[in-house]
Amino acid sequence: MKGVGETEERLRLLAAARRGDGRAFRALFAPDLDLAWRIALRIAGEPVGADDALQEGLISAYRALDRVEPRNLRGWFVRIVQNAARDALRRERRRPTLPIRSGEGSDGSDERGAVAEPQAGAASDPVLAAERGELAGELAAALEQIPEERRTAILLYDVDGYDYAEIAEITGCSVGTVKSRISRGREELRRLLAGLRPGTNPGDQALRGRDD
Amino acid sequence: MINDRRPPAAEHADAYRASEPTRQRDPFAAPTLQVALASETERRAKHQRSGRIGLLVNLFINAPRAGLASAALSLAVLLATLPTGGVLRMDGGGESALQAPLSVASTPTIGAASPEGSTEAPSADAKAADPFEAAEPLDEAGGLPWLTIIGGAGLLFSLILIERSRRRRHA
Repeated sequence: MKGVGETEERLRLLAAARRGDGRAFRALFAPDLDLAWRIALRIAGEPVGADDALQEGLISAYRALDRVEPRNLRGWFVRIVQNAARDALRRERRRPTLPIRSGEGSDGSDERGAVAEPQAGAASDPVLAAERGELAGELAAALEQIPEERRTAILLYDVDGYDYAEIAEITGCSVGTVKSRISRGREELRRLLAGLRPGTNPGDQALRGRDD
Repeated sequence: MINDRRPPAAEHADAYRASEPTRQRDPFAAPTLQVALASETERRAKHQRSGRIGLLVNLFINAPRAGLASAALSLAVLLATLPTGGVLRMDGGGESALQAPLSVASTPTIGAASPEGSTEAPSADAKAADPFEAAEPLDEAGGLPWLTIIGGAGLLFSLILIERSRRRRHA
């Protein structure tokens, strides 16, 4: 696991990046770009917003390289991108603009399907694709109603598959806090998903958890 | 690092993952980022080239206003008290009150005032008549060294305050 003790290679890259080596800077954060982008996407809600947040985060990280402690560079970088995405969202809320949409999804839950990459299995089976789209839409709608830090912790654990320690490193809080956020977030999700499908309790099987 | 021990139970989570878009663009290929990184590199290089003067200018720009004001006041007190203490006495003959008695015998003008051939130090009367001696003003202004000390201490304290503030900001 990376983090508290950064690898020699990463420290070397950090030193080179501080001296102005662009390639070293790129190599330093290349392994974290996907994770940071996904987290930004979950805040911004659209790939363009996540791209912008990632770009802003990289610029901020480069400017702050001299001041960063050489510990947990991944968590530091992810949080910079996360903050950039939040700031962009705040700016957007202050100055709402009409989005340009290429798709024709009428309700909000179809937006995920519109930007999603076509999956190999789903393309061959339209029923499976529709069912998956429905489930994803339900979860997305429920996730929007829970606080951001719990949403991030649940998605990192249940969707991305990181363990508690890694999530603690990424989000910059303790393992106990991560466990608490996941536990409370799941309870809320179960309640919300049960409300979406009266008669069944999809939350019980949806995010039953890896530790059950 | 992805954890593979996750059981394949969560249908919602699987569906969500499958529907989530993936990153398509390379942020480093964007001209905006390239320009921003290049300008930042240039700014850093310029900062390094500016050396000590640049550091001093940055220190002044980033210093807390209260610390700067305190430093300026202390410096003003220090400069106002110094001339009446030691510096002014240097103006007349280039000697201080302590140096004068030691060198007076070897000074031709003062040596002429003493008896010829005499190697003794000038008497108390001769010392009092010496225009370069300024023992009296020093005694009269007995409080002045205290003002100098206060000014110096104030200046030192202000500089420490500014440095602490800079370090805190840096951290």
